[in-house]
Amino acid sequence: MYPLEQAEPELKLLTYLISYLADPVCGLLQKAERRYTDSFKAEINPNDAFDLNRRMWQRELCRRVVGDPNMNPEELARIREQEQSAAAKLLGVMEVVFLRHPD
Amino acid sequence: MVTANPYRRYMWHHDHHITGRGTLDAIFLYVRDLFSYPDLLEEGLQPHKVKEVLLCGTEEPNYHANITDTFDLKIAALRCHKSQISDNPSSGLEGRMRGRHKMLAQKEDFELAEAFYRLELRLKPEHIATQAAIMRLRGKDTKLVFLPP
Repeated sequence: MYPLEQAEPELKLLTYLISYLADPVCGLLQKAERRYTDSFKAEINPNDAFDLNRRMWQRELCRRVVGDPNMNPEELARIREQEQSAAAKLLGVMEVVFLRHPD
Repeated sequence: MVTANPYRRYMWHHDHHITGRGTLDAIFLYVRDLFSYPDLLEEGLQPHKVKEVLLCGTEEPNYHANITDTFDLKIAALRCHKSQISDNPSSGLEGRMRGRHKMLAQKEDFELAEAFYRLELRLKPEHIATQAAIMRLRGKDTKLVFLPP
């Protein structure tokens, strides 16, 4: 049997060490996340629970595509529509209808 | 009708799920039912019966289309999506795609295949006739129940 009485202070010490090391890391991550979300908090619709998530993805997409997270999502949609129209023209598609719903 | 498979498991784009499910809902039953859109009926637009559906992005394909002759055109169309696909020849796009389509054509007698789940839909003429008869009995001024998709 594992001597639980003896292990208890060690576990306490281990827990203390983990929290000591993890706290600054978590704090930094939270700080970075807060700074990131604060930068566009004014644009978020408070009645839409998914708005924050959608905004974050839009910014991530803009960053990946054009290297600019501050790019207007409408501008990105315009680029995507142009690309889609060019591809459709190549394939001989006569008409492309864009519903323009948010992603 | 070609649309995304809404039932792909585990990892799939959320908008592809929604697009596929919405399209299938439209195909069966809204666009073929006389009562779904009475306003469109009044405009003279008749119900439309889709005979065949091809679902792309499926994990269990039951239909393989021969794309051997149109593969180059597919790659050229893909390259139009510059913001999503690298135009650089060294990116290996064409090689990767060729390998994928060759694998899909393993059991076929052609070189390159596009895989789909194929659905065939049938609507008997008497179903349409029954709906038309109900409409006539109700009369033009009768308010129909509108079922939004």
